Amino acid sequence: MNNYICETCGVQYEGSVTTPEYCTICTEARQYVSPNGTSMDDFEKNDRCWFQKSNPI
Amino acid sequence: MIDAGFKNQIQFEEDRLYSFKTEPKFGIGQTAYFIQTEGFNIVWDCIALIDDHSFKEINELGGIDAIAISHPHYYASQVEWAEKFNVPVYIHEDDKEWVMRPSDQIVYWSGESLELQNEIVLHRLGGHFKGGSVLEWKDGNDNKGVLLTGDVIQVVADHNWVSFMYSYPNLIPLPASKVEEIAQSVEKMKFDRLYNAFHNIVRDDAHNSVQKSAKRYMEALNGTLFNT
Repeated sequence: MNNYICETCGVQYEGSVTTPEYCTICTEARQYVSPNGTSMDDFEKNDRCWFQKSNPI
Repeated sequence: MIDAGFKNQIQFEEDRLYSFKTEPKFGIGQTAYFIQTEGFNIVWDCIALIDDHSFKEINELGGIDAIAISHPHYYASQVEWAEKFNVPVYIHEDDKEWVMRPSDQIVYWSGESLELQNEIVLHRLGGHFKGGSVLEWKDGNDNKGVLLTGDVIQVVADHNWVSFMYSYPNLIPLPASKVEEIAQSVEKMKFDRLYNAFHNIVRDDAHNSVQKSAKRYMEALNGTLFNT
């Protein structure tokens, strides 16, 4: 289980086995999804995972 | 993050006030603050990283008793921080739906104000977020008072002025009526200096800056400020 952090807004998620595919905070009018797509980081490692597929949001 | 070379930098701001942020910039790149008051130290807003160096340095400054957050964009790793220092995180209950990592460390407060200590009061202003809040530190700045605003009140390029937006990245303004309401609430607070979440500071006469900025904003929205 990892507490992933969104690289665009910096919010940390509750523990999950798989990387969250999108960020709830960023997919809202007061923030934004990076033009490069969503990316999540691990707290300790630089376990970068990019999601550039079109998310159903 | 740590493996990728991110580090927190802590900086002295003024008597009993420090700021800290992550370098190089991570996420939104906000600055958080640490206030020392009589028997009660508080962190205002949060950042994504907590590293050994910043944990140690904050402990050397007396440790912390509570964390309070202006709004969801700075929730960051608040639970990680709260667990590490074993302290509560105060969040306005109107923004509960935006908490992405629930925890027993989170204390949801309600209503318009919460006195955490006699010189530290949280006030809900709403606007940017429904539960959007500011921290009034009455004794800071040689007893003239400090207001920490996140970007519920935003310091703009001219540091004698502030602004108020629903969405900063997407440039969506707030209604004039809401800004008037915010200005009326802030009018009652004691401060002469204002710090935002990007280390921009209205150094002096900040109370007046908020009032004149709200007036300008309302005139702009109402179409009476300019004729272009």
